[in-house]
Amino acid sequence: MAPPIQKIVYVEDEPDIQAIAQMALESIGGFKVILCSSGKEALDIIPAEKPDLILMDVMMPEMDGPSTLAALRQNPICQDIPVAFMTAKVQKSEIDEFVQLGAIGVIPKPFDPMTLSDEVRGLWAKAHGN
Amino acid sequence: MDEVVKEKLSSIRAQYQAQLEQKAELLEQLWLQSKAPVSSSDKGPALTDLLHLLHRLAGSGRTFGFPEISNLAKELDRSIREMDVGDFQSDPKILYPLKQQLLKSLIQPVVNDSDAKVDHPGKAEHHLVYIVEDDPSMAGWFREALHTQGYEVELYSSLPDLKKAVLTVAPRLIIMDVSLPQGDNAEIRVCQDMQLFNDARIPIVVISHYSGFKTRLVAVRAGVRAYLNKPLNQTTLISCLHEIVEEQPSDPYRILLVDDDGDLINIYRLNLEEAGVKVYGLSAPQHTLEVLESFRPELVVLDLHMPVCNGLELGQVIRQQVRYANIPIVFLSADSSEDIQLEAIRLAGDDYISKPIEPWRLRTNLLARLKRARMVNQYVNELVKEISFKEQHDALTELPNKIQLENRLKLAMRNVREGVRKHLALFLVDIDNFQQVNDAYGHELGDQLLVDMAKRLESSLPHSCIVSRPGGDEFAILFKSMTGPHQVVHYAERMLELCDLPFVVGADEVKLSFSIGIAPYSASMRAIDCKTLFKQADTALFRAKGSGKNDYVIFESRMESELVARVTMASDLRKALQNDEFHLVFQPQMNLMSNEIVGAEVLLRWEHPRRGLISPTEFIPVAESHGLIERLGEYVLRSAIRYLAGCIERYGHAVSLAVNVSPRQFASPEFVEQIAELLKEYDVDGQLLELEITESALAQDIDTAVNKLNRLRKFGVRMAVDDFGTGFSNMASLKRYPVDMIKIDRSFIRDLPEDEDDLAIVTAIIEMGHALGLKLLAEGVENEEQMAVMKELRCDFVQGFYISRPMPADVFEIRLIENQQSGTDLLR
Repeated sequence: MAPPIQKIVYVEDEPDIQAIAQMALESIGGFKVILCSSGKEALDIIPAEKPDLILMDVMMPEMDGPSTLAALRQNPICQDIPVAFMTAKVQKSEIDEFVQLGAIGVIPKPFDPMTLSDEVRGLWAKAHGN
Repeated sequence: MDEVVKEKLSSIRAQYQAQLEQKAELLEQLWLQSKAPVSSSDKGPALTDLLHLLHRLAGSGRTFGFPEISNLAKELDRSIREMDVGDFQSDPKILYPLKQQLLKSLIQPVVNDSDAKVDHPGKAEHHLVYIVEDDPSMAGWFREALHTQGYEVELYSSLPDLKKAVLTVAPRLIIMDVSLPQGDNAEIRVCQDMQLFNDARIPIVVISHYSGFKTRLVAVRAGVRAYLNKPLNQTTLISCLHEIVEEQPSDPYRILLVDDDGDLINIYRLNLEEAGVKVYGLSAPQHTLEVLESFRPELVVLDLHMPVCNGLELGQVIRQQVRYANIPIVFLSADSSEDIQLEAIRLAGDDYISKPIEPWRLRTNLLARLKRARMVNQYVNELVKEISFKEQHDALTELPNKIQLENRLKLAMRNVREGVRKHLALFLVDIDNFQQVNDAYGHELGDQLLVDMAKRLESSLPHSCIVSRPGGDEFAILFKSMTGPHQVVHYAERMLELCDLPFVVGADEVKLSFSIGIAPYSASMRAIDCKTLFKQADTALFRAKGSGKNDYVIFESRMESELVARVTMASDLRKALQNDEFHLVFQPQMNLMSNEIVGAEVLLRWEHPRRGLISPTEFIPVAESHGLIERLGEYVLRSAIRYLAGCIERYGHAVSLAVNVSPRQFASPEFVEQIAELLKEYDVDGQLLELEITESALAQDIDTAVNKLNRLRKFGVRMAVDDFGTGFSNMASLKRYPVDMIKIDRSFIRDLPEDEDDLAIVTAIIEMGHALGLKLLAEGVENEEQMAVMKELRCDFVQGFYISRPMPADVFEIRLIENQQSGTDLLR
């Protein structure tokens, strides 16, 4: 059995998506959510917060999701925190690429706010099952 | 849903909606700006921003309850990306309607609350499926497969049960597994029994083991909608059900309608869209090619009479391009002349439909064609996939081949350079002595061994690494991510352990080992490309082989100079052959009964102009790998036979010489003739010549080898089996070959007399050899004790440092003269 997720750091540059995802994860999923608006911010916040899971948009200005992940993996404190990507481009090849980078999975955008938390739990369980 | 959540959700939605008008304005603005060509193929900032905006809308609309925004933005984004940038900037008109639709959906957004459910149909009455299946495991599989797609499933194990159920509640669809143990005829009876459902207009999908014409015909007559064969995969089943239930495929068909009459287009469009078909209506035929490119229709309908160009001409323009040769073209015209209809079909079309036609008739006609076209395309796609698989995989093991490995390696190296991963490592794995297995057991069993090896490697290594077979008996394994040297060592050792268990080859168990060359790569090695990394792994592999096999070697930069040295040596070898830098040395062989020198084994020496004397153990492998071994072999043969001739001339006495023959030399079809000609050229008696050959060289093609040996025998030439006891030699197979002598390999002599195992082996070889009527020679005799053992075992001849080291021709001649003076004949 996978331990329950409690704290999620959510990295997303678009404020409106941030708002609805926060609502979905907090009100429907019951997680504690910490928001970051950029990869850089995530790099500062994550080592301090040590979340159970990181949810990250792929396409962000300056530092995109994959580069943020790569940078996170350099830091021993963050090395083992599972990361899931969110993207509007869900080509199989890209999913494969993200998984190769070390992501536990990909949540396609646009996501359904009602089921987002379940999707997150699903990925989490799968990652722990493996 | 929780009231609080509901409230929050609607307030967030309202916020999003409030910004949509603003986004519409931005879309208009960027659309205009991106139209103006910036420079050649440069996207320009406006177009980049436009694509970015579309991407965001696609990724957000549905989340906020506006699925139309997501769909349209996604479609427009895809269409723009599929077009050439220049084409789009100079003429974005084709996409104008799509852009307008998106704009509309932004300004007058349509909220769809239940949209999330669209992909998962859940309405029970519409998605109730009855399944007749008596195999519980299949039943479970069906339930699982259909549940995930939102179907409600009821299972029945017999036809009467199903009939009862249908009379109570009619399902949307019935699936019947009619694979009955009684076979074909029983299935036919079941199909005939389906009339009831047919009357109730319930579509039936039949699943069967049989694919015979009779069964299929009965099924068709019973009104069965689809006939699927076992084994069944989920994708086929689901797409078939979807098509029946939704009356349209999950991925909508795409039709391009070209007609100058816009009203007509609209009527047809409405009707086709009702059936879930995506329609692109084009009233300006001159844009047909662009639309073909961006919209990729599966069917084209052309009006025959249009002002700009007629449909017949347009059809031919389309057909001029091979990539559109497959798209069915249907002509539509009020012209009833049969000649014109025939001409249209002959030149470009597939069918001709006369106007006026009721839209539903047109729809039925076109849908049938679309369905067939898609089936053909799917078949072609599968074939293409298969071909591209074959291009990238090794046919024998189905592992990735060198082409794919190189591509993956390049990608992985880039990831390391860009800091995504720290290290990677390329392992080259070579099966030691594989050639001997192939020789001894034949290619078929050798191939099977490679397949087994591939499976062993794949199953014991992590999924993330790529096991490939670049060729021959070599495997290459790419570890895309390595944490450091300890991990490299860990995997290398694990691979060596894979050979702990023997392999089954035919009826035998064979013990094999690996040699592994490893080239690690990290971000600091920027200057190294994929080819160089391969070379490094190869150099390390060469070292592993040289160090006695069953070992791994990790590449170090100092080996690079050795690599250079090998290449240099190959070129030096070529020069050496031209400049006559080689000479022969002679290692005497002694008859143990008479203690007389009876002849010598001829050995090759290379006097390098700068490096001095180079050992054969150093240059022979290089000559082998650079295709020079045959020329070297010929050189030795000629020199030895010339020497024999000189001996007779100088001393009037004959001497016997043993010459090594490489497997490749022996395999040459001209080998026997070559020897015969040399003997004739120098007028030398064949009896003075002994050829030494390894057993594996003989085993390559037994019949041919025996034939060659017999022909050589006619000239008096004697044959010795070299290095006996190593590899796969065995006494039983020796019976097959007409040979004269066995040379016991030095490795069995080295530890005598202490090593009891070796002593037992040598004793057995000598006894059995004698039993077969063969002479025996022990190689590598180095001391008095070994000499005594050989005498005691009644070995016939010895050779080794104890008798004499290899000596130059002139020294050997002095020994010969001494022999002559003591009155001994050197002919044994």
